[in-house]
Amino acid sequence: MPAAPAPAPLSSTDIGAVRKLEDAIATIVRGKPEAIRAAVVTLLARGHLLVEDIPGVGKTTLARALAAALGGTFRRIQFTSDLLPSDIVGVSIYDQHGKVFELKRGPIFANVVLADEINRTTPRTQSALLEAMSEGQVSIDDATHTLDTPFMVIATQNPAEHYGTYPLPESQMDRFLLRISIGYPAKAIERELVKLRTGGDPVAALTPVVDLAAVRSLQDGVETIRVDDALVDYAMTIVEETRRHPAISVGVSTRGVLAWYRAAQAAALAAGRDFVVPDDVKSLAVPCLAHRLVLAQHHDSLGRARIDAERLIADIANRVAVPT
Amino acid sequence: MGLWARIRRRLRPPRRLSFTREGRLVVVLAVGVGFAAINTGNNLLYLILGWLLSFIIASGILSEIVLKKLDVTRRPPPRVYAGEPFLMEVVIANQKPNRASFSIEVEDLQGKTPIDKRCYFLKIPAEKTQRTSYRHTYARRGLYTLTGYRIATKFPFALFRKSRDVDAPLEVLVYPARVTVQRPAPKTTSRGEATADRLGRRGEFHGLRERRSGDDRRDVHWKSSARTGRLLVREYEDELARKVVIGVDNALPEAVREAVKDGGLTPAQEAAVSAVERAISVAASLAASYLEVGWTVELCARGTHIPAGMGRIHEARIARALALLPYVGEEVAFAEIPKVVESVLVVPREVAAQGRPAATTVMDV
Amino acid sequence: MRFAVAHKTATYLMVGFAYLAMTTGGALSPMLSIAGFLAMVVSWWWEPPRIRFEKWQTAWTVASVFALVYAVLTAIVTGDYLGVGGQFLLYLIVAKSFNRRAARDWQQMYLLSFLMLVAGSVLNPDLAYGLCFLGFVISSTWALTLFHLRREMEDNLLVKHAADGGTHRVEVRRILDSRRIIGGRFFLGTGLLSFAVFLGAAAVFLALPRVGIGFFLKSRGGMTLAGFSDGVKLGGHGVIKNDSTVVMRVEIDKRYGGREAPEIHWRGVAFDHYSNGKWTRTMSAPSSDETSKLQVGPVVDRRYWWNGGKVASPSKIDELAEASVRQDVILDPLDSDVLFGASQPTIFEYQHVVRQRKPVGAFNDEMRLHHTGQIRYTVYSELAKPTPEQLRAASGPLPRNFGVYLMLGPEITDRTRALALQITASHSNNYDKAIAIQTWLKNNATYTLVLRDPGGQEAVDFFLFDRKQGHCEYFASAFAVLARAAGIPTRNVNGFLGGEWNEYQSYVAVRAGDAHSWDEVYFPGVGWVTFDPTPPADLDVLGRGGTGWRAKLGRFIDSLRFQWNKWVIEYDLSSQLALLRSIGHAIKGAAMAVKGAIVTAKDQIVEHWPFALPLALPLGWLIWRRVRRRGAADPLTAARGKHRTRSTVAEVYLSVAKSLAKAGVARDAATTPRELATRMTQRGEPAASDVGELTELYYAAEWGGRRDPAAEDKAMQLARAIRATLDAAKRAKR
Repeated sequence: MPAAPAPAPLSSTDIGAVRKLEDAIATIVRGKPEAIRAAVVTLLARGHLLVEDIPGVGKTTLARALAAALGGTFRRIQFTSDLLPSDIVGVSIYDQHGKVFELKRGPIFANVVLADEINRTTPRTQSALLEAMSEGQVSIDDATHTLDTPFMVIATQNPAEHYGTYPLPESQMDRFLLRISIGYPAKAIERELVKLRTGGDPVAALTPVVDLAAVRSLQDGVETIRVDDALVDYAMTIVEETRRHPAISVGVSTRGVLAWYRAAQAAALAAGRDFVVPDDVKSLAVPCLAHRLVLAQHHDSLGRARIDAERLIADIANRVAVPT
Repeated sequence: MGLWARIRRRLRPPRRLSFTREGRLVVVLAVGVGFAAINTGNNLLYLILGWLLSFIIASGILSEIVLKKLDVTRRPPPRVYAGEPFLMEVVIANQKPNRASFSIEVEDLQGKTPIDKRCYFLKIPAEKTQRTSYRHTYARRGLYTLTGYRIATKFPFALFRKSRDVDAPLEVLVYPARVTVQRPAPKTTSRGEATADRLGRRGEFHGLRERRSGDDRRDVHWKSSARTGRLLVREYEDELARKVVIGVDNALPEAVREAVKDGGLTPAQEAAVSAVERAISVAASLAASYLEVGWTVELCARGTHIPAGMGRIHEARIARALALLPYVGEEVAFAEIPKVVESVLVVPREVAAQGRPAATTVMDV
Repeated sequence: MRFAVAHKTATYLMVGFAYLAMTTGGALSPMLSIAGFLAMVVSWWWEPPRIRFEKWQTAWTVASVFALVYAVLTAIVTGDYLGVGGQFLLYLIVAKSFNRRAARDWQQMYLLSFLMLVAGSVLNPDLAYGLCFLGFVISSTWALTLFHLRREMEDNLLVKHAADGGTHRVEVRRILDSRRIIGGRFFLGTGLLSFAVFLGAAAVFLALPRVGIGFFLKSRGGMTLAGFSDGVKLGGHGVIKNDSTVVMRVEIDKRYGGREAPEIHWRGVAFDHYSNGKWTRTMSAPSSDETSKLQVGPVVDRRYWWNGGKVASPSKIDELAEASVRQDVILDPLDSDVLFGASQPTIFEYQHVVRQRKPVGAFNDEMRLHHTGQIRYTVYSELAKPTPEQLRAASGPLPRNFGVYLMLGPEITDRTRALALQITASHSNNYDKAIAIQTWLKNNATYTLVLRDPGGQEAVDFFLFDRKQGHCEYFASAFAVLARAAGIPTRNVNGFLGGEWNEYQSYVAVRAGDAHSWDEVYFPGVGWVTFDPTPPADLDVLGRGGTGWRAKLGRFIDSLRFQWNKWVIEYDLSSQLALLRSIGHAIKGAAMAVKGAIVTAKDQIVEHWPFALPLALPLGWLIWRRVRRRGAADPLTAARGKHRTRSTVAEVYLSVAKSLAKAGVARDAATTPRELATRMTQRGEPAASDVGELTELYYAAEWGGRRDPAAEDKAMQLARAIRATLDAAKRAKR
């Protein structure tokens, strides 16, 4: 691949745009600034977000609000056990009247795709989605079609359900930049939400605050964020520790380190800086690394595995000296 | 925990000390020498006494140092079956930066009593890990909790054995014993014909029918559809027919249940319990066997019901349910066994109980 | 070193030291001891696969039965249970070392070596025991540790050896041959352990209070070391041997005992009756039982005797003790129970051990105390001699019973008596007469150690007129006879003369060869005065005060013995109290010295600071580097990237962080600065907002690469503000 031209340095208007984006989403998704920040960081880093959470806490709302604030398209794919890859990417359909095969694009051709309950579908279908995520293009009947940019997948897993599920194997989890869980909102917020639920769809009322071109240039700008060598050493120390830790069978891979690096840069940009500080790196350790681990001890439930992995990463991050 | 207990615990870490034969001898010698020294005033005997006392104290200190900062992890294998010996791996890590530990014994604790399988480590260098394993067999299925482990050492002079109990609960789920079973011949058929084991995922091609929403688009038979002007799909023998319900009767008379709890069983009661166990083992093995060939399995027992499912995770679910299946009275109702599908009911021969449902196949074990 | 070999070596060392502890000192037959030692050396190689133990089983059983029977019979016959027991132990250890098969045999070897150590405490209370004891402590730690490991390993065949992959069953043989288990660090560790054990033993030894209960009192062992004959018998022939065995060690002030000091006469035995060449004590002599007993300490007796004068009060006796020369004597056991003191001794002090010591009836101002081993006591002596004027002026009646000191038997020849009168004719008083006799003897007889039998002739007569040669006993006897013939009350005294000054420990070592005989003359109103007629120049002094390296070495070793005797063998309650007191003084002294040193150092630095600076800088830099490196021990917590050049703002922040840490808001290595600021804000700490602002400036400068002078100024301003807030808070707390 030829080297891309060096991206232009960020301007202050670019940086301000991120703040506007977050604020806009925050009017819809109340009381969850970490989740919004994670979504925005993932978007800026050209990554994909995995949300492991119980149903009904606002995953869909977040995705739709994000899409609306961007002025982009939003599609939702509900994964079931009999979903087929063609249901995701699209298919050529035989048009009976015109007697020709017509290309019907699947829901993946959108800016923000919510892949709901991805652990309920067969591995074959999962891999279709994951390949699309990593390649940025799909092939339908031997023809390749590129996806839109910006393109972000927000996938969800329900950690509690076991019946008939196919949880993502660890090798595929690596493709997600961050894994978060939203959880219940604060009591005050929840109470307010219940009272305010007047009806109507607040997301529909949300007007875009940035345009897709601006987002694309922001995504390019992420690569220009300055990262000091000491921070890279810091990150590598943590990663090496995950590879050595006795409770961790397989530690963070190189892809994981690169993802973490990019995510830190995106976080710095989202905070309005053009340099990465140690807090960016440390605060992203758990969301970025925990789902990439293969634990030594086998857990039967997703929830327990997640808690264990997150605890291990948090322990390691709280032991490694921060560069000063 | 009360304040007093907390203070006591802080001051004196829970250590256990038991003298060996040599240790008792040394103490007796020390007392003897001390007595002689005081009586005769011979200063050299005082010197020897000083050495003996110092020896004993050094032994205590050193055994304390050696036991510090040792971390033990027990790793059972992924599946443990009743009656089958398994290797429990014991991994010990010496977290001291510059001191090795010598002569360490590790044994698992169940409640307060050790399992009696001691693992011995001669030398664990500083910051290194060592592994060993012991062989153990659980006779019965169920959930066993190893409450913790005990690290002990007799280092350096084997005068006494100092041990430390660590709370580290580890649950070991022992699955029912594996037995070889034959899947009974299926009694229900679809479309009126008995079929042998099917090849492929969905069976043989059966015919064409009109497409309904939800059908796989790949099943569309384009040629026929182009001819007729309607979308027609291929139809296979339905997977829903390859479903089985396994039932197992876990009823035992109350007297026997009480006896199991108390621990004293007469031979007749033993026989009854073994019969039920056999039935559960057969049910577990049957379930595994069906799931292996791709059937959908549903489990019904008294007070327990696992709805239909397939795949590896479902097998784990059923096996776990059967491992934990309690003995209940016969008044507890059996979960409903659906009529239409294939069902196998496993009953223990020696235990008579009410309320057994009907099934297409009844296995007497 | 291979595991098995290490264990065997340590065991043999341990047994060897115990063996030597029991046998050096010669209490058991030396031949047997050496034979046993050689046998044990041979047994090192006596093991499979070279030797099959079963073949020798019967031989050893027979030998053991034989040895047991022999031991029992000998013990019953000789009554020397201790010695025979020791010999039997010897046999047992040799037999065991030839039969090392299983763990049990090794254990028995250890037990036997312990028993040998205990036996040695009775049979061999010498310095050699101390050295062997030290060796035993060290090697026993090694041996027992290795034994434990070996036995555990043989019991548990399931042993894995350092690997994170794979588990193998390892054979016992391989472990025994392995070199990896026991390395240099193991020996170092156990060496330190045994040193600690030794220190612990010494501490217990010093600290355990010596209060005897004395239920089953047994004699305190110890054999007679030097034959001091309690009688004088002139005659016989042969050569007097010069025995260099030290018989007593006397701590005395350097002025009196040092190399330049005049030789001291150590007075012990005194005789009053001479007949047929033999000096004896008679019952009619004045008894020295006229002593008073005073309790000085808890178990200390003081005996003071007056010679015909009044009994002094305790305070007067204390004054007398103060005025006299004090000597602390450690006396090795002799054939006699007499105690020695510098002429003239006036007060004796001794401590009761376990049981009250009974003084034995003594005459002629002797001091006798029943003891059966080494004994330690204190003597106060009046060393100053009366002036000749005093002695010439002495006159008065003789005290009661003093007639014995003038008696001469009929066997004294006439020419002897005539000679006496002839020598003393020209003098009027006893002093001049005594001096005349002494001078005459010095001029008319010579000293020799070769004796000739006088046959039927009276010994003194033979000496004076025929032989004209003799050793000190002849000179002394001749003097006494002549003096008595001249009417001077005289008695013969035996003891030791001089000794060797040991500069290492400030004591005089008196040897058996220093044994000497001299006389005492009584002057009424003054007391007994020492007269030594033997010519001093002819005395064969035993290399006294030699300065060659051999002599120095000899003295050094003797000083070790002295220390051993004083601090170990003779350690008692008064020693413990003295030790406690001296420890207290030492601590106080050290504290004062340290304080003084600090003050002087401070003064010196203040005075000479220009010179101190070039020294202090490199030293400080070295120390600072050490401290920095120490902090980077754990790679996880090591501050990485310390080679970067920091920005000014970063330096300001770091110094503020130190101040914060001192004020109690510490940041541990894994917390980011921003997390710290957030924590401070959440807790509502003062200066939280300033800290937050400073943190952001620091971030921008350090991680953003901005070098902005305005930011640096602001940072310093914030730092000042923060420090001010912290100080205010600290003052408010007080």
